[in-house]
Amino acid sequence: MTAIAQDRNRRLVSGLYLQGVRRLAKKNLALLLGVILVTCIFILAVVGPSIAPYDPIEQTLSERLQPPSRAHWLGTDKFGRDIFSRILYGTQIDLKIGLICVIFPFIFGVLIGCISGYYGGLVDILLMRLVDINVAFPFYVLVIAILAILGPGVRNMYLALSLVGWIAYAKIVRGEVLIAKNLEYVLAVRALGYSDFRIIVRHLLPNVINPTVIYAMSDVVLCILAGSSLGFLGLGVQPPMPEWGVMIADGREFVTSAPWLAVFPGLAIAVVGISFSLLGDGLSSLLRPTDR
Amino acid sequence: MTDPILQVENLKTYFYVQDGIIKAVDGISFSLAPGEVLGLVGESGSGKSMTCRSIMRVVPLPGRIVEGHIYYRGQDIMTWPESQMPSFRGSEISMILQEPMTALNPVLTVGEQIVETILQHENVSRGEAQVRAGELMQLVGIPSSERRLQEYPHQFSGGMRQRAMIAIALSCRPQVLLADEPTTALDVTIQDQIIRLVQGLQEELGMSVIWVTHDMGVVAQLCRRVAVMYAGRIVELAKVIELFENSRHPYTHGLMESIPTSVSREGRLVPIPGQPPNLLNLAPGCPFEPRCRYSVEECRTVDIPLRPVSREHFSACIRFEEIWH
Amino acid sequence: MNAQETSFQDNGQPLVQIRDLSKTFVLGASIIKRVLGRKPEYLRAVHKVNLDIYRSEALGLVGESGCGKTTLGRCLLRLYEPDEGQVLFDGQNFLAVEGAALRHMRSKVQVIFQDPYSSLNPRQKVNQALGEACLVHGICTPKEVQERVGYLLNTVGLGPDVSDRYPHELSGGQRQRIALARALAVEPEFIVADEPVSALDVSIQAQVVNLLMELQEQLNLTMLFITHDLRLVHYVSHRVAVMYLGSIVELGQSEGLFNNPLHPYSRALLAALPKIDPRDRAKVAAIQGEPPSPINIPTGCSFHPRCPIAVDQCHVDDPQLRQVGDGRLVACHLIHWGSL
Repeated sequence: MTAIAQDRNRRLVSGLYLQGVRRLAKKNLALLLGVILVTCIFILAVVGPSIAPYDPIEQTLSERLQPPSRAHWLGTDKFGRDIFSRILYGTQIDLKIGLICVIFPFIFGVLIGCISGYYGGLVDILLMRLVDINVAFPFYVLVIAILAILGPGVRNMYLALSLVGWIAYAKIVRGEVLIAKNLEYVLAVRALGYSDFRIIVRHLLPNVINPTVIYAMSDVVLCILAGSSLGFLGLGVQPPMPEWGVMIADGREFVTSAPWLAVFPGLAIAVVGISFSLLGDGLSSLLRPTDR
Repeated sequence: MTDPILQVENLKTYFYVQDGIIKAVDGISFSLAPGEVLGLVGESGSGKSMTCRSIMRVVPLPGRIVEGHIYYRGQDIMTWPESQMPSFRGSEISMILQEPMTALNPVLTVGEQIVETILQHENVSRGEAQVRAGELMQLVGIPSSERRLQEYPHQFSGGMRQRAMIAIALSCRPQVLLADEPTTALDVTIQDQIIRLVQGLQEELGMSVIWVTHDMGVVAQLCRRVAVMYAGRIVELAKVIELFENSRHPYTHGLMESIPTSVSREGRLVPIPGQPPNLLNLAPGCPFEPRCRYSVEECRTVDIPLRPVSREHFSACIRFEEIWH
Repeated sequence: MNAQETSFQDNGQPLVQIRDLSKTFVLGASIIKRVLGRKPEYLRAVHKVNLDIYRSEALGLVGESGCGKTTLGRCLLRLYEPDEGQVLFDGQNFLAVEGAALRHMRSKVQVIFQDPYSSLNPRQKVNQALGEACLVHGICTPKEVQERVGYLLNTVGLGPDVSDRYPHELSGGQRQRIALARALAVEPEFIVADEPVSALDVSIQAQVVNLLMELQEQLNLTMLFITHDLRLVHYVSHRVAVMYLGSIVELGQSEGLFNNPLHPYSRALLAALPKIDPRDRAKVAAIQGEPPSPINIPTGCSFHPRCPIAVDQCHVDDPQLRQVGDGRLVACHLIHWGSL
């Protein structure tokens, strides 16, 4: 192939790529931004620790409470630890909270929701009582109550958040299945003698999963905030781990004198929250059922 | 020959969507004489419902009336400012819809909804309005009207809700009633009752009615004249007997032949081949052409107007003289 | 020989035998209500229905909303479990089988539903939906699936180009054809068609109806055609059953019944149908009043409150379906007594 042709190909391909991106941007800006931002956050979570200029835990008391400077981009905290490094390390921690506390509840909740919605019976009765409890108490009250029994710590926090969180998924899926199982296409495949397993997995699940995925996105944000809140309260991640909530707690007493201690971790939480929200919005637009 | 009470001229209602223009109503003209029942027949997408909404000027976004005149008693409604429209709707021209459950407010009693309409348009006291409401309920055949006035729409059956809607529509003695498929969702026996009711009321009150439907039986029983619509245009306009016995448009013929009337299995249903038209960015020429067995080259290129077949009979088929003589 | 007079009873044992089938729905039952001592409401959808459907016949089932025709259809398909009664399919008790035997019997009894927009899985392409049906029942091997799908599409008058599409890319008429293809994929003997064309445009209805009738003859299918459209049922069916509030009130040859309905409800129903003849206009409604709710079924003959000829006996005794004359069954005391 000649150089001219190769060049033309390359331009064509990148042009098409750009065209695709531009079209996506026009149609679904939220999705595009969400994907980009979340990808960046993931990358940061992975490479963050390697690119951090300082050790996040090592204390340098001579450099306490320094404002942002060339040496410390985001300043130092009350133990002289570099805030920028701590935020970078914290990305991993907070992201883990968001994902672990969503993935397992998601899987378990969807499973129970399907069984409950499709078969009804004892499972359904039990689930609905759990839903009643879940709805009657504020989220944090339940979580803190469970942590009070189990004791503080990261593992227990995962457990507490998961125990309270899975019910929402089950509730959503159950509701959708209750509606979908009376739709004519499900009746038709029942008349075709398909096994319950096949009906649930191939015919119900793909059609009810959308609102669940979208909820999962907002749940990631909720869990990260919860993790940070619990860290702030001293019930979750324990210092000196650079969890963003813990960092905000540390910075509480210095809000007027050294605001950078609390502001930057707060911004980090906000950015991650917004990114997942955008992703959720974008997904919701993308997955919206096509009009007739 | 008295003046028509309603005259529509070259009405065009277009919807501007992301992918192009949907010409829901594309240049229709017809007149409605006082005391006449005009049928508007067509399938989904024919523009019949949108015609009614255009006459009331309640076209939903992204649609707009882009062209045309609607003369009510000689005045062009299209020139009126929006502020003048509410006093017109419901008192001069009323509309009844297909789904009475959604057309009635579920949190107000039926009586209250009738009274509200009366008070909106006429200068009477609440007491007088309530008396009128009771009379209207009796007029439309709702028994035990005293009790019924205090009840809510969900306590009414389908047929009774439709009667209630008719009562609301007639409450201010309109000159014109637009009925948009009011019996399509009802059972046959209830449909029959409602048709007889409207027939009787129309004669008693001297009201003009535009009845929108896709059921040729309803048309045959109720209407004096019929306009057949397809893809936003009127393709045939005739007196009812003339339409059934002497139709001059391939679509009308196709519709008649595809109804199982009293033919048994021996007879043949002849369906219209093809699909209903896609109104998005419609091609020029006759919109029925892709499905027409008489189509020729000219049908694809020339926009065909309604031409007279005989007195009060018009057809938008370019070949009607050749096909039927 | 006039097709209307063909009696399918000569075809031997009826393919479908329904005996005393009943289905009642319980409304608004909950633990709280039971604790408070409040009785739940019962909706009697189908009440002791007896019906035979013969091989190769198209039996029409008509009635207005609340008559139970859809519930009856679904009980026949075991989509609802009947409370009482028997359904024999080819002599076998359809309600008693389970497991693999049930799946096998299910392939013989298929269904087409009313709403083309919800009768197909929106996430499955056409070839996936049709292929799945074939594979689950072992109609063909995985290698033969594509060919079989093409054959099915052809049978319902569609080209192979639709096979790679999703339902939302197809029109209503096309979707109904696909639903039909899916039913045919498992080589059924009996099809329950529940208002198969009611949601389609008039011009498309005729296309699909003709297709159904052609296939019924070609493939020697037995069909239960459930609809509220009287003209359609007259055209399509050999015999017709008229239902009212859960019971069959009249049953007979289609032509005969339409020309000469006997039961007062059938008479009213047919009189209410607007005639497609502008010269023949009725002035008075065929029947007054509203059908009562299936929650509060009147005593005796359930039609008596609206019946123009009801007598005292009708308030008390529920008439059974009985033979009167040539192949016609009617459930009306006055007709049994020969008073009409």
